[in-house]
Amino acid sequence: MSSDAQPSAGPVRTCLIGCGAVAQQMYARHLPQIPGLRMVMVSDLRPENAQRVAAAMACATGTAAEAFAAASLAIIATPPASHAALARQALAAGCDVIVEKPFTISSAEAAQLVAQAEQAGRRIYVAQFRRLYPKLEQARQVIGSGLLGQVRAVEMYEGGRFDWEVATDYINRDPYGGVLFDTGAHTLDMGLHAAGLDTGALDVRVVSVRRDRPEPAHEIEARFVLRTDGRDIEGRLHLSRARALANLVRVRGERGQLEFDVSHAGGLTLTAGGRRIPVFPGRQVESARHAFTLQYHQLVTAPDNMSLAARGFINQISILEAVYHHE
Amino acid sequence: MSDRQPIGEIAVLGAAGYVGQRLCADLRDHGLAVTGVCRPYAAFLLERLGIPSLDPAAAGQARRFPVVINLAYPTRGAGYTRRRQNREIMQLVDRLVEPGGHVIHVSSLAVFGFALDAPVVAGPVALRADNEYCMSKIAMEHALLGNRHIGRLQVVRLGNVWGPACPNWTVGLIERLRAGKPVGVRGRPGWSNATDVGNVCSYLRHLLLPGTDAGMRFHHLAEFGDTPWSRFVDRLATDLNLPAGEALAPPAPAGGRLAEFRAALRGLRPAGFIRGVMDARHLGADARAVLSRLPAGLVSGLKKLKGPQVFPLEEPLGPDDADFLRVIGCQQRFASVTDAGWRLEVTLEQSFERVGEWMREAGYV
Repeated sequence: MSSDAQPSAGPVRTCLIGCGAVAQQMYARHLPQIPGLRMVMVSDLRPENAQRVAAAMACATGTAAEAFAAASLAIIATPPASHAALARQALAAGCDVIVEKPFTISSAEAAQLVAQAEQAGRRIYVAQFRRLYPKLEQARQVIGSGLLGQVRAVEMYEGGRFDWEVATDYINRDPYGGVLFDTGAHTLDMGLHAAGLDTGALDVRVVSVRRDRPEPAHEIEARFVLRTDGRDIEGRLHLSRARALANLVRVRGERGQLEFDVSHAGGLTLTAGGRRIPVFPGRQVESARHAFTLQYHQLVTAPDNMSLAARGFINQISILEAVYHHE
Repeated sequence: MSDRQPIGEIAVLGAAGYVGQRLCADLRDHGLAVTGVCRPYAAFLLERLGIPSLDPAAAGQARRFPVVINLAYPTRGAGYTRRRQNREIMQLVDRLVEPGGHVIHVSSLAVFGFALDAPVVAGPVALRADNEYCMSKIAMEHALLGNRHIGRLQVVRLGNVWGPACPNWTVGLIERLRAGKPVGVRGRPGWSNATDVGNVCSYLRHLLLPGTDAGMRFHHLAEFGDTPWSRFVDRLATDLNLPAGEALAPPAPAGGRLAEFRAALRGLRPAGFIRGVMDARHLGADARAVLSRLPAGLVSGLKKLKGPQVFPLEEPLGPDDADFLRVIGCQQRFASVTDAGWRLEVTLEQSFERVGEWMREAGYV
């Protein structure tokens, strides 16, 4: 997968660390479709989870260290608090790394991993598959063109009754299992990426946070101010696992606004001069699972495509971290 | 509430759903002991409301309940698995309710079809071939009718449930408006047959009052049923500042099996197959070799057999769109049949205000 890999080396030997719900419902079903990947080993602290996924992917089970030694690409799909340590270990073992979202739980860890990967000559990505939604890229281009003027505010809403059959009680017991790092990593990234705020210098000041319970919270509403290039941008992030919300991203500019649904389908709505103008991208993805599968295909066939490179997620983690720690 | 006889503890199946969560909170707020039955991964939805939860796998092992309210229905898996899922839910009801206990089964107006094609009666409905959701609802009612352990059974058929964050009708209508999809049928205003979730909770709570007789009774709840859908749509469209598009014609009425078979065959698209062959590298070469040897008149005659190209004059509708428009254009009323002692808790205007408040909080406006 790295630029020094030989084209005739065959499929990339891959390992998967973490065999919970995401692994069982997404990786086990869709990764076998990727011709450039060959799963050689999976690992999980619960042997039954590892065996279930290993059976589905026709590979061996082992410890994380054994998996890193057997593979050249490591996928980290464990709970967020363990991402940084496992990614460090994988990079040190000579693997390229793909980390499930959220990248890490702290911006310091995120920056350290990016630096470690660079020094080791390895690649590190974040599996934030919604970046493959065509409308998100289109939104980024529209806003980046300056058509709406400078960005003034970014509002992000995502909520619905939780129905993901988790394999553990992680969402209730893990301090980082709340909706903020879980769903929020997706929603926040869509807003930042669309507004061009995912990279570059960014300061975060949290104004207020309202939660339904102490972390892990299942509903959270945060207001914050992002400072970049000498200007302030208002941010609002409202997430819920219990009830429906608008499920959209709305970027307000000096001369209008752009909004889009957080799902894979549909397009954008531009509002300017008092008129609402729907805009549709030229292509679509069939589903979220399609985007999930596509991201791995692109990571294997075009490793130099940096849209999922980990350095593009440090700002996201900075905001999540600031909101999380705000009382 | 009556003080003649304590109601006892209530088990609510499907407690983690939209109506279930609100019902559990409502019963608790009125001083009733309630336990929500739901799958473990959804238990947190009840815990955050302070409602104790019970894993279905553990149901019946520790205790039984004098009252069971069933909101559960099959929601996952392919349509042909619904019968098995129904059976599992009925077995769960059996394990939970005390012998001779009280069961309130929450059903739907869908037992009469999406467009209320079958005659609406406040009584048992005959099994018939229909959409999988409708059939599942009918089958569930039948399973309960045949249950000899239940002392008192009440079947409450709800109209189209509406309310803040309601996934089917409220969110569904909002999303259709935002997507520019039709939310009505031109010249065919339909009856909403709607019920507000607050009134659903109120009525179910009312039915917990001890009855004077055992046995069953059918209830229909659609207190806003005589309000056309257009009123709901116009209110949402105004709040969202969006136009309300209409389909030019209603979806074609359901035909018989032969019509359905013909429609399914159209999906095979021979034209697409032929085009695929002609465009292919090797098969196309073979096909061109054959056609080039045929008399020009014969080839021309074969092409004429296709007939002139016919374009669809209406925007094509997917199955979900068609079912939606059947409901939104429903010409039949689903009149409420409710206990005379119950009083409406949420008026239509209050319902609209609550939805509007939620829309602002949820980020729609």
